[in-house]
Amino acid sequence: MKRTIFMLLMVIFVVTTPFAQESFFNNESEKSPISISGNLIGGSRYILNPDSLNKLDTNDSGYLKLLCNTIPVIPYMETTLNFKYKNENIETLLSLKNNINGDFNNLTPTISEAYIHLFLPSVDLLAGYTKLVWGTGDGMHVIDRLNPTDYRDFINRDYLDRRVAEKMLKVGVTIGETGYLEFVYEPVFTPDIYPESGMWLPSKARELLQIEQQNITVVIPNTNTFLYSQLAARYTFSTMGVDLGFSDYFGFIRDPVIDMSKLLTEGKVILSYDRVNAFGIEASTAIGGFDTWLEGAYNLTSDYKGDNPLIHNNSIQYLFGIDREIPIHNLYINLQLMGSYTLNNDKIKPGDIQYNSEGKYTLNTLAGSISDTFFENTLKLKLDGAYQFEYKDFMLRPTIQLVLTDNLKVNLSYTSFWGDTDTDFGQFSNNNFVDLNINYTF
Amino acid sequence: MKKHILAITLILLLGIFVIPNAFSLSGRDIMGRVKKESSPKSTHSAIELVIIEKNGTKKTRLLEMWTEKDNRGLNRSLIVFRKPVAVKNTKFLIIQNMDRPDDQYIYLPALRRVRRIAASARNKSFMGTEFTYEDMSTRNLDDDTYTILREENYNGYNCYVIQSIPKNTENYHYSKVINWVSKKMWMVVKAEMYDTNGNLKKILTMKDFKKINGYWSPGKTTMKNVQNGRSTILINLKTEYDKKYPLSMFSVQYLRRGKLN
Repeated sequence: MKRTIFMLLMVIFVVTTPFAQESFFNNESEKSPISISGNLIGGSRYILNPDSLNKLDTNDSGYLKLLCNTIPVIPYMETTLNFKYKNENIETLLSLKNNINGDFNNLTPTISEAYIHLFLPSVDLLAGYTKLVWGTGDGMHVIDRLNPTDYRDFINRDYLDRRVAEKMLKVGVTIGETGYLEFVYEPVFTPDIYPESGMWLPSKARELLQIEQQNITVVIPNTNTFLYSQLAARYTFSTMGVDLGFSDYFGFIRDPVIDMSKLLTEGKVILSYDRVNAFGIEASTAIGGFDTWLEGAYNLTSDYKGDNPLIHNNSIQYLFGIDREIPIHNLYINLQLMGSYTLNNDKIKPGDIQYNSEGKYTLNTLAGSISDTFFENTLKLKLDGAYQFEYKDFMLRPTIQLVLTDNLKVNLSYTSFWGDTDTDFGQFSNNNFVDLNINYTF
Repeated sequence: MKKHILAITLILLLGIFVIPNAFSLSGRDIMGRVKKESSPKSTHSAIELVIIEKNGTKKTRLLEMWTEKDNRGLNRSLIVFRKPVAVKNTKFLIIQNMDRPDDQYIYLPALRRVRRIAASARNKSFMGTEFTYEDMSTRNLDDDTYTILREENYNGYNCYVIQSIPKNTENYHYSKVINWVSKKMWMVVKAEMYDTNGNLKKILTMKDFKKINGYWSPGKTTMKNVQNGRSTILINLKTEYDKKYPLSMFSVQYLRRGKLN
């Protein structure tokens, strides 16, 4: 392993030395090509309904049980340490992360990202374990398929922090003045990560856990093989004040197929992931003082007729977004509508993996944010919310942020969930909490 | 002989009455000359930016800026914040257009997202400074009408004082701008910006000029907001002109590509 790293560093040195300097900051103002930066977040969550804490156990990332049994507070800490080497034509990053939810015995950091990015005049090559964001959306996307999502603490994390790095090789080609063509190869597939217990356990995962507890074998495929390779391409360009993009992802639907057809005969439940060819379109432009954007995706699976109960039907997904600086004080508003529609849903019968007893095969979520800043941007007030039209459930989060210095921020927020217990937000309606944290960047 | 005398008299008359008028400049001519003289093919600068609050507290940022003209003479600018770490790698792109307002984009590294700056946001502060997004954009010469108000000495510079009034006030947040143009350098050394109510809002001053590669460059630029008491100072650490940069460097796709992180 050491030899491989040494050889890799030698290749980097040989490849990058001949190129000329483009930025003043590569070797003049910054004394070393190696930089270390990071982020430290420490905070506590006060759970308003102590009953929710009973769902916590040591498997749930090890919440601090003793403390939780007496005081309904969950302390947490997250540290990120980035080691970066860069010169004119190459950037390498090793990002380590340590996320502690209550269990301060587990201090082992994990690799959050590790990659090498080589820049040639019209081509760039990226290899490693990293996150790519595709699409014009603001923290919501329908065409961003290259990385899995970590749902273990998804309510509390920003979009990029919810995404998990994936092994990949990317080739980017600059075409003309504004065109950029990207090819991505991912050798293996990592499913989305769900909590296995605790207060953020989604109802779908809970059902699966109940099956496992009944000594029924759940067959989970090994997706860490080349059989699960994925390919993707994207071309983005700008013309006449519009930024446009087209993409294609040939990979897998991350929502697993839970096949219970062999439950009675063989006593097992089989998980699998459907192949999908997802065609995407994206655009953004300014219209009438609004910054606007959209994404659209067509998910082509092998069940294009919609009659195979064990394969996802074809579907379309869409995202529309606008934001605007309101000409009152420093008010800013951001609205996004994200939705999906399952095609040929009239063919979906009971027993189909997508069967919905209420016949709802659309899902539309409106997410919004309104914020204002005061006292030379040192105080920020923000209200985030999301509402699902079909199930009438929603979440709200007012936040107060104090900017003490450039590097130091204090956040106080209250997150509440509303809706029926079988809905996406409503299932967490007993988990309303107050969060106080301090965020230091260095 | 009489013909010669008549001709000489005519020449003298022309010399007295016509020639001075031919060489006198209109406000538009002066501002056109300013654009021409201070408009190299490309610029690359390292800048220290100091934000001074009303109470005197200071915040310092380090940024790098490139500008390049395309083959139609339209400007494209790219700004990359280098320090502090809270804003590091935030990038700002401006693309001047012939027949519509500039396209402006900001790349937010924490989201890995490029956000377009809509016209409605152009009067908002650029990264907490006293410069607005509008101040960062390039105005076409014919966007304003110009009047020479007077000639006067400012800070040791013999100046034309030119008033610029926008022809179209929609989405422009100044009712007028008064520029002090150095006759020697053909550079604006001071500008007063007036809000839409006609009140003085900001004063831009430039000093410590040096000639670099044949172009006058201010060593220090100050934007003082007289209404809120805050100011922003730009200190030119290093500048080079007329180097060739690929136009693809000034594109949304380049922001995403991450070359200048």
